[in-house]
Amino acid sequence: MLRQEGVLTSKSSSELRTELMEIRDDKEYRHGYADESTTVSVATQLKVLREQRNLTQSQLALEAGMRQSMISRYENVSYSSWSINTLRKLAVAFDVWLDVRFRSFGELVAATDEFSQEALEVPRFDDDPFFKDAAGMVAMKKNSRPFEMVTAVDPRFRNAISVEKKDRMPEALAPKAGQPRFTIPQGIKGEGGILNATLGNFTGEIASIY
Amino acid sequence: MSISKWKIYDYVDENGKNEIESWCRSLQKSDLGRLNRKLQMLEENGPNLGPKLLAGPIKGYPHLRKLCVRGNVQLRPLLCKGPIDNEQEFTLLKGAFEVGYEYSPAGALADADIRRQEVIRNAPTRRCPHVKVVK
Repeated sequence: MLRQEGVLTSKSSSELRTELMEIRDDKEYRHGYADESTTVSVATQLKVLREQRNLTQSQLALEAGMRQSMISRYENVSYSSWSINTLRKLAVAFDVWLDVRFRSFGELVAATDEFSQEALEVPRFDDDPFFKDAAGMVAMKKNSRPFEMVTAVDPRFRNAISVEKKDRMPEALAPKAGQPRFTIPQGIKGEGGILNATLGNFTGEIASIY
Repeated sequence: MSISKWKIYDYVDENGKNEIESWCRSLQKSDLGRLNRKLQMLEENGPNLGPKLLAGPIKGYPHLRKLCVRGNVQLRPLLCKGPIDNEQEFTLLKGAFEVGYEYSPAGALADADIRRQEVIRNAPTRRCPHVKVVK
């Protein structure tokens, strides 16, 4: 996995990097490799997203306004004749955002390394943690009882952080398993964007970083 | 990060020549890049994550599978699971192409099947860890 610091830390990444470095002078080879990566990635992610939503190919086809045979064709790592328009329809059916970007070959290393079922899964809008958290915040603020707030500064990011009492945090704001753990000075320890915090006698969770 | 669970081997002939490596060296660069990406996926993610990564079983050859790579030419390297450890290995047996729904060379499937038997009879000398060719 490509870390925040830009250092490839795992053995697998190092090997992949070496592998790609070996082909850096050969444009034809690396474009063949990259093109196949795109083809493989699209087909695999379609299947992963469909299964994540417990849909059959026929059900997905119905959602996307296509024939089941086309879904079967798109879910083939050797098929690459889909169009952006087709992918747009599938994005709507999956209720996700389609991102089409030109990217550097350096990013291909990280993308290849991260290629796994877990990495390809994307929550539908209703399960999107970002919006769930945002909805939770709105609901919390509407729920009358005043809450305690402390403002701290993370010197690394130089962002102000608001901290709210843990017992008033909606479940959606609880720390998420598997998110990167890091420590902020001033006694705040946390995970991802939602952090556990201890400031003096106060223990709570970071509600937002702004 | 994916952890490699599958090992890929190349068929070696009776003179110790790695037939798969030779075939890979004969490929055009872009096709080789495509092939290597698919083999990498097979090695790192196994046969199940990528839908239809391996095609088969092939009629008349129940142990054979083919890796489909669509490039300037249609690459169809023939391989089998195992054949020594069916849970962790694949062995590339024969480099082949598909031209007009036919395999090229014509006897590729039969050849691959014979090679599989040779590997079963003498795995230590008739196969070696896959040699990745990069041009």
